[in-house]
Amino acid sequence: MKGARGWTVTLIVLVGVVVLWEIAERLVAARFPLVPAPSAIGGAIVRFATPIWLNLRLTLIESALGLVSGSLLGLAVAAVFVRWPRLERSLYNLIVTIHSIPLVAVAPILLIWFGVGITAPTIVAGLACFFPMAVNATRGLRAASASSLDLMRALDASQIQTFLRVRGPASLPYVMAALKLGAPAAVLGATVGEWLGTAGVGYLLFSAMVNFQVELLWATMVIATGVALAGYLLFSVAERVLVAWGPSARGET
Amino acid sequence: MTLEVHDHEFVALVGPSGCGKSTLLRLVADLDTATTGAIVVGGRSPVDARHERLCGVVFQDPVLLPWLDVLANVRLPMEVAGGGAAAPADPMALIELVGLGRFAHARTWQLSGGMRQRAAIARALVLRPQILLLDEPFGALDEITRQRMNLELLRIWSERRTAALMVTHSIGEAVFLADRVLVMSPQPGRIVAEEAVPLPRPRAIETFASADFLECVSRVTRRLLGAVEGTPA
Repeated sequence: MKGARGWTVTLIVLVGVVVLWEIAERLVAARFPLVPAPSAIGGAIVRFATPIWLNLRLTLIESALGLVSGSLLGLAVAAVFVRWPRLERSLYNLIVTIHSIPLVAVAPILLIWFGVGITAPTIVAGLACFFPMAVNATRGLRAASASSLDLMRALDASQIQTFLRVRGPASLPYVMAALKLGAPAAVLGATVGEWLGTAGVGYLLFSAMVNFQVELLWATMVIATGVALAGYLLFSVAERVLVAWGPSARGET
Repeated sequence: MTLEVHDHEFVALVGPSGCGKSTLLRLVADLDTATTGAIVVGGRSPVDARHERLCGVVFQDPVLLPWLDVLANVRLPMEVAGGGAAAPADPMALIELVGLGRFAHARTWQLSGGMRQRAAIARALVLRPQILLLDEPFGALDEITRQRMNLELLRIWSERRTAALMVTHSIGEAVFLADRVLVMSPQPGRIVAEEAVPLPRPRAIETFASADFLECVSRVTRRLLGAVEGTPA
């Protein structure tokens, strides 16, 4: 399958880079102490497993809460847009504007409002996945073909039946695409939101930086990347199961 | 304009593109609303007929829902009607009837164009409609598949004994299938001629070669050419 082959190539390239990196490191290690060898990063992950896990747990909770709330809000906005297209014309620019606010600028404002804790990072995570969901779901809810809507009308289906049997399923590929984009975005958003906090992966990165713990910094980055990627893969798998009839499951993308 | 379709009758409507024959069908199915004139379906207005599900519609595009298998697609009208369906047909028997018995649980995108349209016909018949409305059902199929589907459609129709109103560009198809062929003219869309088809039933592949068939085709063709006279092709 095309997807599996793509991942094999990715993995080979990744392993190649890591091996070359390790070799280069051993040859010229002393000159660049700011770039630890992969083995050193691996060692750091093991050494700092407890603090990484304790902080990661918090970030995971915030990311998940943010992904759920941001996506639900995006879905709700999309539903409103599809139901009242006039609102879309007047409010779409507002949504784009909200999306254009840099998350690093939002984080301190939210921190002032809500104080240190889980709220601010969760909201930043939610903001990060709100936009992809709003845009994709708006397209998705309009994806049902005119002929399939004709069919439902000819069958004397109610609005709700048409939604449940045609519009909803037809939007699913778009919703899943938004979730695939949203999962890594939520992890990023939560991390940014924790930057000035007292716990979480973002905080760990920040404190490792100011304390010049280079290996911990890299170790945390690797873990955060892995988590964001895992989120993406989770929804890729879910898409293949839920949208078995869709273009990505049939190898058309 | 006036047209009538009797019980158990097969009426074909031919005409050039843009003469409004599909629109007419959509009006009968209550997919569009007429500004003037009266349409009566089974003694009711098109809206009421739609609420009572008296029409089964087959579109040019089979419109199968890809997230459902063939059986679930055929069952869709029953699911939507819920308790409102008087006495639905056995969907599995219909799938057998249209020759898809082995494909009841197939994914719709795995089917060929002809097979998809077979499933669409089964779906249109599942609520035992009084009239089957067919809008260019085989227009997207290749010639050979189209001929086979016409034979199949006759077989299915003669078993189910519903009335049928079919829109088509193909004169041969119209004559082969119908009891009467109505010829429409473009701008303004009007029925300008009606030809009874005296061919005996059951009709089969040999019918295409019979003198009566060819004679009837040429009569309809002349009418149709007369209808479009003066409009640029």
